[in-house]
Amino acid sequence: MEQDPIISVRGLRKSYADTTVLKDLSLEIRRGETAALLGRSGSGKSTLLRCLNLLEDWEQGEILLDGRPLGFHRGKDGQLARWSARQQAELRTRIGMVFQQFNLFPHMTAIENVMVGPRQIRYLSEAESRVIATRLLTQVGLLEKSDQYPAHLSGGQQQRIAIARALAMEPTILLLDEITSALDPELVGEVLDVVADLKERGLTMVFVTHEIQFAHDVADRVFFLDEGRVLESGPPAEVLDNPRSEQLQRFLARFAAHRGHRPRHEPAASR
Amino acid sequence: MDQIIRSLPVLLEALQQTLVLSGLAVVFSALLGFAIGEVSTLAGPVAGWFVRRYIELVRGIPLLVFIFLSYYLLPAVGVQTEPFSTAVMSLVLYFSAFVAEIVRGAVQSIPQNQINSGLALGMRRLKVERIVVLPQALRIAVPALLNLCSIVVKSTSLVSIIGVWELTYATREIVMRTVLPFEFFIFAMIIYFVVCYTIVRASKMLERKMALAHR
Repeated sequence: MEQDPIISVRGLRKSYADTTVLKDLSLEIRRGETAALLGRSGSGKSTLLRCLNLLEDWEQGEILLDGRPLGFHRGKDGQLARWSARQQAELRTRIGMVFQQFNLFPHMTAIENVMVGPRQIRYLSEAESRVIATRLLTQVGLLEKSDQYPAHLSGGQQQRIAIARALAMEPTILLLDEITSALDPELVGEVLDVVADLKERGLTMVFVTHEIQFAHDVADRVFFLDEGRVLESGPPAEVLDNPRSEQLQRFLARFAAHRGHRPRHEPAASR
Repeated sequence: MDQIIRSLPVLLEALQQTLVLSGLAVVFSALLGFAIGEVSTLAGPVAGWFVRRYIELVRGIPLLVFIFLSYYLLPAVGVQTEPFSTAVMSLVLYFSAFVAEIVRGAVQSIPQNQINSGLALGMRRLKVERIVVLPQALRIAVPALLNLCSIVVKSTSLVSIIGVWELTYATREIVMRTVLPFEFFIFAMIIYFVVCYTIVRASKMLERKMALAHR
């Protein structure tokens, strides 16, 4: 794996009306790595992901993608100018995002959901789009559900299709925002299998998760966020097995207490 | 009965006029109302504010007053029109506000998550509207819009007051000649009912069909 950062976040600050969500947050994501963001709710994990996709503005600091500032460019007068809507949209084609609530388009079948990116944004032909969608539905193990509407699919199936929909844009980075939090426990495994499979394919992934064991097994590095800052980071074996800060110790203890020790992530039998 | 049969050609012509009037009012109200509704949600807070005031204003005025107002106001501001065009214009201006309100409500009922999902794929906002929001919103709006259709058909009877010849006007003419108010008004009532009931049935069928296609 190359060591150069694909994403550098430097001193990011973001606040809503009266709360500061990100306080001088800095981190680097390396090309091809799988990074897990952990932390209590409100620690800024999801906000950070949304900033990376420009779905959220920030007040201070910068994000570099491949060394170039994200969301802003230097104008002729030397001042920083915000990207146009076209530039923002273009960036989002390269950074895929999967949401907690799947957000499939309910008026489209599974395959239409996956085809919409290639067809409407990459302007590929109907036939080419169908080939891509078919391949991706096969990859997530749902080809036989191609013509079903989302309402007829389980949460786990919907989420796998949402991943396929994001992959259809052939992004270089995939952001996964608590993608198993809205799922019944027995459906979590099938979605995590898909993510583990993507890691094998070398896609750069940043995911926010509450599945500590999964982060432990799959992430190359974990970042523990606390009150809008990165408090601890490093390989999961170091950070999760030897938490240094009191906050991370408490965070991990709460998981152990509330959830019991989850079994190691096993591939689901269905795939 | 004999009288009705004798008047039938005239009444059918009058019905045709009512349908033309309704058709024009429905089509142009739909177009204008859709545009207004979309502007009120997409074009930013200022435009949205003006559009909402317009909608509130129109909804607070009786249609009959609105028709009279158009009838006297348009020539006063230099627009020379015949009663028929005035009627179409006032119906369109009036009902487009209701269409706008229905469209706005339906569009706003689509969750922000759906919009974010489209944006995250790399769509521009207008494309999100076209591909993600509107197909869902219009499906929601169709029953209310078809209901409005039948209200438009019934409301065309009001424009007889400014001298537009349609079913109600023609019926009144015949009643004055034949002095058979019950027979002819009941007959007109049945015609209005059949037209509107057809729209309501069609709307129910469409609703069921869309529900099937969706689930």
